[in-house]
Amino acid sequence: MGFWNVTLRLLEGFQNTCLIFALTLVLALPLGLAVAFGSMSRLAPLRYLTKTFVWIIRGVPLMLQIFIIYFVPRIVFQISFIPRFSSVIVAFTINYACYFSEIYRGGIENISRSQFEAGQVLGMTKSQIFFRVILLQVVKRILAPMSNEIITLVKDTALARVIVVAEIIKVAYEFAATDALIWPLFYTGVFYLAFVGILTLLFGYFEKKLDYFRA
Amino acid sequence: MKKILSGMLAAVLVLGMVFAFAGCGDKKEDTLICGVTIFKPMNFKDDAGNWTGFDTEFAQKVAEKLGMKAEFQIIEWDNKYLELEAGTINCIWNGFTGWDGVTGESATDGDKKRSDSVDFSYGYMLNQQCVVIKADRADEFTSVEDLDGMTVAAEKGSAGEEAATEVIGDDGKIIDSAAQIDTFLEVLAGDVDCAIVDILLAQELIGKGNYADLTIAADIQMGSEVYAIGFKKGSDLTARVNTAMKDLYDSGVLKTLAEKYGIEHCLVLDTTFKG
Repeated sequence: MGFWNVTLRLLEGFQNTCLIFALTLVLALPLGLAVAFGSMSRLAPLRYLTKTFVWIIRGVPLMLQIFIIYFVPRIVFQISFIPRFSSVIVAFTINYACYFSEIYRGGIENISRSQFEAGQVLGMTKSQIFFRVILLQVVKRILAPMSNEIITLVKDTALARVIVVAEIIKVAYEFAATDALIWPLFYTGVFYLAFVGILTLLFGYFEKKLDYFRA
Repeated sequence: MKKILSGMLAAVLVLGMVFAFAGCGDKKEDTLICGVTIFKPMNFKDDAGNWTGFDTEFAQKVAEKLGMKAEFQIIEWDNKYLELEAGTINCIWNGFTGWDGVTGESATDGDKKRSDSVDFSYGYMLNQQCVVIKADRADEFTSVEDLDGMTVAAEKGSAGEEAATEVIGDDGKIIDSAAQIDTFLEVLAGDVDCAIVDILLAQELIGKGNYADLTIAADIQMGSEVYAIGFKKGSDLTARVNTAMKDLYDSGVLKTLAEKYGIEHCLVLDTTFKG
């Protein structure tokens, strides 16, 4: 097994890593915003329900959540329509939506009240105020904590292997078992580094783009 | 804003549903899903990425006799009973140690069964635990007594872990690894004195590639054990597979197969054990 072949096989695993990352991001970013609105709702029951949910999801290890979502429906209810990969996506999406929601909430509550009031004076509706005035400022303020969380997500994808989704580290392990090679395992670090490097550059670029928006 | 929000939520839900059902494989009665880990020479993938190995071909031949098709699902060895219970696999067929002892003796020794969570098929292969060490420390390992008080790496829940418990005494320590191959890393790292693993696996890998500095302690003999297939308790598959297995053994097909993987000296048919 030469270096080139190992790289090719690892790239196959890395595809899964990237797919988990991208799908989670696409699904959890909007869902997180919805959860944030839930935890800021004026309806007390909805607010407490959402906050309890966020507490549970943030309080239980992601690894355990993956286990629960995959195994509990099968063993307790004999339902088996969610395959392995989807279970991972569901677990990651819910988990990250909860973390994102708190970042959103912090960002939104940090915008001064006077901006809402000014909007109302101008006769804007609530949604107009939120989407035309508030949101972009929120995006700028939460970019740094969001980038932190998103970079963590890249590396959390490795947890998918607990229900045997063949992400890159799982694939690297196969070399240790089949070809007596250990170095592919350490080599996977390069892939993560490159991925996070690109993300870091991307976030830097966004930060610059939003720079005119000095609050 | 409510409209947009509910739109977003709906989109998320719909996407979620699509993913939930997209990979939904239709489970047929005529598939035999074997739970496996990558375990040379029993189940592993060739360079083209196709499943091969003794257990792989064995399962395919048995399935063919039963009018079924064998499929292989990689599992985490730690979760094998969970997977069986969840119905994601029909059997554990991966060099699974059914009971301790050698052919014939085992029949009278029901308490040597390694697991009460499954029904076992007939035994089909003899295995031994062996001690894997750094080659430059080979002279320190001449008998089982040498292991007394040592730190030993073994796979959690494996036959190797059980063997280790018996030989290291009160001062010894076991490092539970997630997989047998992880124990080799522990030995290479030098924090443990040796690893106890299946000899069939060790013979395939030790001394090769990154394991070149390791060797099997030749003078240490450990108790032998029998590989069998584990089925869900009460499954009718056990009897059907047993019949097919006996046919394949009697007709010499299994012998040819074992020779292909160089393990014909370990092949047995142990029909005596009642588990």
